[in-house]
Amino acid sequence: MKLSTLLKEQPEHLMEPGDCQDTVIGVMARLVRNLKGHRFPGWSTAESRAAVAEQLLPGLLSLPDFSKGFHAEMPELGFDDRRIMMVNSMLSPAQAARQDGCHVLVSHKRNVVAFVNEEEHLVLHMFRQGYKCPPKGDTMRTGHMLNDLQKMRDKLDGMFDFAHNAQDGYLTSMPGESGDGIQLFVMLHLPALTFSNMMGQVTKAMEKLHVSISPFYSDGQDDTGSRYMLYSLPGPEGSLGEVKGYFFEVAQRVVERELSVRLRLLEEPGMRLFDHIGRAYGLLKYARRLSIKEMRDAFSSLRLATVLGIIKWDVGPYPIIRGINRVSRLIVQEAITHHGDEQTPLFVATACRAFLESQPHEFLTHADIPPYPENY
Amino acid sequence: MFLTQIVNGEMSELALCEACAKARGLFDPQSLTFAEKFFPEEFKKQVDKIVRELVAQGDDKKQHAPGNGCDVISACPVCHFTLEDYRRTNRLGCPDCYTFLAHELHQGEEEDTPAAPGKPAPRKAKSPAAAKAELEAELQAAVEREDYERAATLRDRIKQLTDKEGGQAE
Repeated sequence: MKLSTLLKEQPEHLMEPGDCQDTVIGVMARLVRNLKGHRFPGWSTAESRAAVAEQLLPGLLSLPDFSKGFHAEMPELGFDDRRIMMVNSMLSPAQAARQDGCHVLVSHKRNVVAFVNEEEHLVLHMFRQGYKCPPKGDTMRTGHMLNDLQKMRDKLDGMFDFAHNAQDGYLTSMPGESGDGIQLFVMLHLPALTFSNMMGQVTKAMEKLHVSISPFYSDGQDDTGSRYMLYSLPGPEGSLGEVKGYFFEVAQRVVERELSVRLRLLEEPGMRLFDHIGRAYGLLKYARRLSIKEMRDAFSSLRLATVLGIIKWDVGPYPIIRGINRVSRLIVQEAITHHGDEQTPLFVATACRAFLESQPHEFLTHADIPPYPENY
Repeated sequence: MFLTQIVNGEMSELALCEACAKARGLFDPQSLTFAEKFFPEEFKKQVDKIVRELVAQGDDKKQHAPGNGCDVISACPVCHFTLEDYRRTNRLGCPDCYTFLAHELHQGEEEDTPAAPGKPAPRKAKSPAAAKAELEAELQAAVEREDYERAATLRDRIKQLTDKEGGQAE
């Protein structure tokens, strides 16, 4: 697959609306492995990286996921290409900064990505959109994704001689992460918790439960778009089953908390939520200059308004959330490739206005909003 | 045990495990400081002797070897990653570092808090109180051997733990 083909279409798993009232955007699993007898990438030389790539690439490219997919060594990718791939979760920030001897492979469906010489010799990301939201009290289910991951893991472990010892499991550059080499991530959209300034409490609670949470878009304190990444700590070898059960139970608790805060905000007499959504709507509809962060924040509120029924769209909520996903990524992609720093805010604002104008809708008053939600 | 000596403008650094230090008569850091202060000539001779022995064993970075009855090594013979590199970055250089830094990596592991049923605690996780007590003991040792760089790192880690405890208590 050529780079132009890869970048032309956006990954399908990123387009789908999130499940559980648009709180769970998607799930990702990260698998890491290192070859025996070679330095870890962070301490490596160009020669050792080349040797690692020479060993890993033929096997990886023979896998059905990657044989018809995209493959490049990092120097083949330009600065803008890397940024667009990062926006579409096809490149990690760590790999985007790397050069000679470092490779990226993307499956033809764009839902499996492999990095050679990222922070470890081999890093594999596998994505799945949304969830089937379980009934209240039940835990989340990942469908086929973890089965696919386990199959891929078994195949890779049979194919390569990975560094492993009985005491530590699969060896990684950070000793605390050795073990089974698998981490699970849930991408969450938590606008009500963010709006209520409750993310600090959630973060502290997660620490006590041995689960971490961080903003999705940056490594700082940013809460852009109210998106967060909940992730499991690496577990000892063979612990995936236990980690999985516990981790998704914790994720489900966060989701339930978000939904209950939404309900509380809806019923609040001060109408802070309505005011917040109205301001975001006004920004999208009338602003003449918008930053990417402002756009993401406003679209987050628009998604919430759509799920809560505050904005009623002629086409229904599902195509609109899918449309927001698609449009926001296209806007970022277009801004990266065709607009300079000065022109970007003008372009973003114009594109957002055009999106709203293209979709007939009605901003309902408080009294007209249907009761929410049936299950929570 | 860490010793730094400057002879004719050349600096020699020693990083010895407890077993090696004892084998060479360097069993008490406080006595060493005392010896350096009051018997500088004798002390210099003793350290010179140890440096010559270690250099004669081969790689100048390799100050211990399992063959010597020592289970700690300060630099990985495959990638030359040192114990200090690990302590500074919390990362390793290559898979072989796990063998050569095994003692450091698994220190205190037997004191680990067992995971609660159904809760996958990290394999090497210690309770905050145990971790803090261990760090404080290590800090004390670092101060005694005048390893101030290490002491500063340990002090920061203890402060982080204390802040975290305070945050959780709120």
